[in-house]
Amino acid sequence: MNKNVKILIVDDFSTMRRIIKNLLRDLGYNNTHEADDGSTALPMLESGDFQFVITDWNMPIMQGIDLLKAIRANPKLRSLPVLMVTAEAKRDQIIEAAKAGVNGYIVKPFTAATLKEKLDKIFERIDG
Amino acid sequence: MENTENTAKQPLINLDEARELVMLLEAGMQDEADSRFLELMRRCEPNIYNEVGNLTRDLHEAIRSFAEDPRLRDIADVEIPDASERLRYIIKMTDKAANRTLDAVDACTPLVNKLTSSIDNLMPVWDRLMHGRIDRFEFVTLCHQIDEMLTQTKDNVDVLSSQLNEILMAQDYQDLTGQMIQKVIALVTEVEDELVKFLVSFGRIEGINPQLKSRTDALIDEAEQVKKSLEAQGPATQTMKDSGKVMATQDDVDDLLASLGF
Repeated sequence: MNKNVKILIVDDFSTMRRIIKNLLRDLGYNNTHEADDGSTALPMLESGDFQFVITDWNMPIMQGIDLLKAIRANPKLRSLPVLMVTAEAKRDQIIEAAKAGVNGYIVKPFTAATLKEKLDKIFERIDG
Repeated sequence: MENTENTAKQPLINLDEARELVMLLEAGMQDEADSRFLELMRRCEPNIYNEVGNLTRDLHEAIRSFAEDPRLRDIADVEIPDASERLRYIIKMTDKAANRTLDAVDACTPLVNKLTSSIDNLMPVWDRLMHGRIDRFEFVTLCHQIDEMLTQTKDNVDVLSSQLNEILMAQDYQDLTGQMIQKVIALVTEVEDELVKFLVSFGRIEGINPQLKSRTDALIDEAEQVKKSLEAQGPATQTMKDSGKVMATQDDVDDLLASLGF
């Protein structure tokens, strides 16, 4: 995958956004942008040419699951890959995210290796 | 006529009634006189009796509904213990994060010290080389020293980089404990709200204290706001993981997704 891929990181905690941003930078992905919840992320996605979204679930105003559903419902954004990185670990929630069309699901706390593995897997599928 | 104010207000007692009382007393009918007197008194202050009655009923009602509220029972039985577990978990997580960070610093410090001392060792000979005042033998020794330092530094930089990564990852506690603290705040707000509601329903007797009323409304709004933003569960506590409804590890999540065709 092109390392210049434009990625949007959505999380209401700025520390977590920084962590993910740093990990992505270590993996060679430098074109990252941030939003603090779904309602700020959606207009950014609609107007920008983002190629990848990493989002938390539990956020004020618009939650990650609703952002995912909004992305899948939008003809322009429908095929955008979405990786969920969240502390939500209930069976029902993971199933809901899968049904909504999530491309990967990472439970916090996670490791750098897990992030790399899931990213590689998603990019492999896109490229393949 | 001489006392228009009293006629307008309805007299406390009239002449006939006074005469009746005197008559009863003169006839030695003390009991009848007393009960007639009480009747007259009651007519003067009918509200006191009603108010005491209402107050007692309202208090009884408020206590009963407070004690029987199933939500409150749930809070006491489940959510307060759950909140305590969350708070204990927060202590554990912040402790772990602090130790992870300090361990990483401990691992980095000797490497930095070593680099500093290698540079200090090389500096005098290096200076002489830069000023062209070095003999062949010293030059060869310097080359070996530099070679050794480069190899060592290369290894140490890898360690430093991985330790910096460790410090970075340790900061995830802020997000995870933050979500848990928000949950506990929501619970505390709800309990506060219930207590205020209890006070308000009890305080109805004197009419709701307007200050208390607006405070209650604000609290209810706040509680609803918090609840709305917290429909998600936040990080799972050990009890939740033990219940089996929550995936305990990333591997469990991967297995579940694999079973769904991922």
